[in-house]
Amino acid sequence: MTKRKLFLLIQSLLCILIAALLVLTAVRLYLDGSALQAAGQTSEQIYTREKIIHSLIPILPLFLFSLVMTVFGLIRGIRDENAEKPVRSIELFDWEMSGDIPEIGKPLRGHEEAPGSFKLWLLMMLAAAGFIILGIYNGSISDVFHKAIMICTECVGLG
Amino acid sequence: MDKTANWWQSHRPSKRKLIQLYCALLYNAHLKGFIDGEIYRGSIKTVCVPGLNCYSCPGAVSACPLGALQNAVTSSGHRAGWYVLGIIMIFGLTLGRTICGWLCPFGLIQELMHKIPTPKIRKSKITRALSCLKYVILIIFVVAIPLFYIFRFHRAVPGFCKYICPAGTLEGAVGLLLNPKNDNLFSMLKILFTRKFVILITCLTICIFCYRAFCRFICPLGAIYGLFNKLALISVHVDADRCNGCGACVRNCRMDVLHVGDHECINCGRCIHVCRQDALSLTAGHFTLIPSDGDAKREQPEVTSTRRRFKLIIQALALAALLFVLFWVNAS
Repeated sequence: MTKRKLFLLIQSLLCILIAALLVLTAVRLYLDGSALQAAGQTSEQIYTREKIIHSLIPILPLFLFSLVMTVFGLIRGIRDENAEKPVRSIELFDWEMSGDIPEIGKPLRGHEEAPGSFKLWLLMMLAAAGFIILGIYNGSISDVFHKAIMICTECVGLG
Repeated sequence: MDKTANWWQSHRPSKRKLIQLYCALLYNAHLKGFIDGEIYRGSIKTVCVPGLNCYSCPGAVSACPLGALQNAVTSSGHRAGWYVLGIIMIFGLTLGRTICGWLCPFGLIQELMHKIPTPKIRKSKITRALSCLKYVILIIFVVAIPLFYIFRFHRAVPGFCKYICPAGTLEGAVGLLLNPKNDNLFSMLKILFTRKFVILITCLTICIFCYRAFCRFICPLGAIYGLFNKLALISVHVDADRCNGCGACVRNCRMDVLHVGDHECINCGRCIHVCRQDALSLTAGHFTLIPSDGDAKREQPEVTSTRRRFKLIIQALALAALLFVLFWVNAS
């Protein structure tokens, strides 16, 4: 195994390890917190800033080491060179499909503009402009605004 | 000195990366929000940005099109969401998935994660098959779940935002919780946050190994824009007279395209530089945005200077727009 491959392998293991530790920390905090709440200690929050910081401290050295390795790798240009090479084939299935999927090597399709596509584009643009005007008229524009100016607690996972 | 210059030449951020950074800053120009811990509530939030950017992020100055779409679906009982439909159609018809490749902050985050030096997973028939998953997610989480909840329980539930969206967790939750003024929000963190946090970490980790994994397999907004890709004004143009069908463009593309410009193409322009026949270019109608490498070298000096002048004007306007937005949203 070359030094490059070893470096990449160590970095990938570090990334997976950090991710696994973060996930386990979150799950452990949740389970411990809910157990306390179930035991009747309702004043105890599942997550607090102090608990999160305390749980992340053991992961911090790994994270910093991975960061240093990343910076070193980027400066030295260490990367998976196979990723830069073209793939050999991307046929979806082993057998030849009739229809739209072209084989590699056959002339590319999709570059000839279908007749009437400009008219279709123009029609759809006019329809879109019409929808926006209709939206301003029927008030759906204000729905967007009222949703956007409130913190969507469900969207961000706050419940 | 030469070594440093060579290193910088090979490592400097590309124009696409700079535009992505610009957009990330423009969409999240409410820098005061990160200090105050408050989201922006100005009138500019009526407008949707083209990319995936959670409007609960303290820095967000506009609405997220996907969140607005789900909200429109839940409101469809009493008011049709024509505005959101029109906005998304305009974005799709003008830019298509160029938005994913050039204008989406979460796309930028994925590409930066992918830069971490590890072994990478290349595209294959498995990734091609997985790319269909985002259409399933679009139908189930963006349309079906909100409709189910509104008609069954009379409750508006943005399915994708609530159960999956990692951008919301990263930009919204983490953005808000980092500020000590929002300590009261910690009492709301329960199973939903735990689940979404796990999804976020999983998503970011996969992106380290697999190029734009979220974009390719999960993002319903990319799925929607992909439907417009064939009609979009900005697209990769193939010169049929020059193309010899070698397939180098498709083989070198990191997305799961079957041919350039299809619904998986994010118009990143990588194929343009790979094509040895100079058959590819990025066009906006009849105007060439990125010519092929050969055409760029053969360009007449006056065309090059016109292009350069045009670029400078666009850059100046873009900078002026950014400064204006930064001043406007942070001064109020």
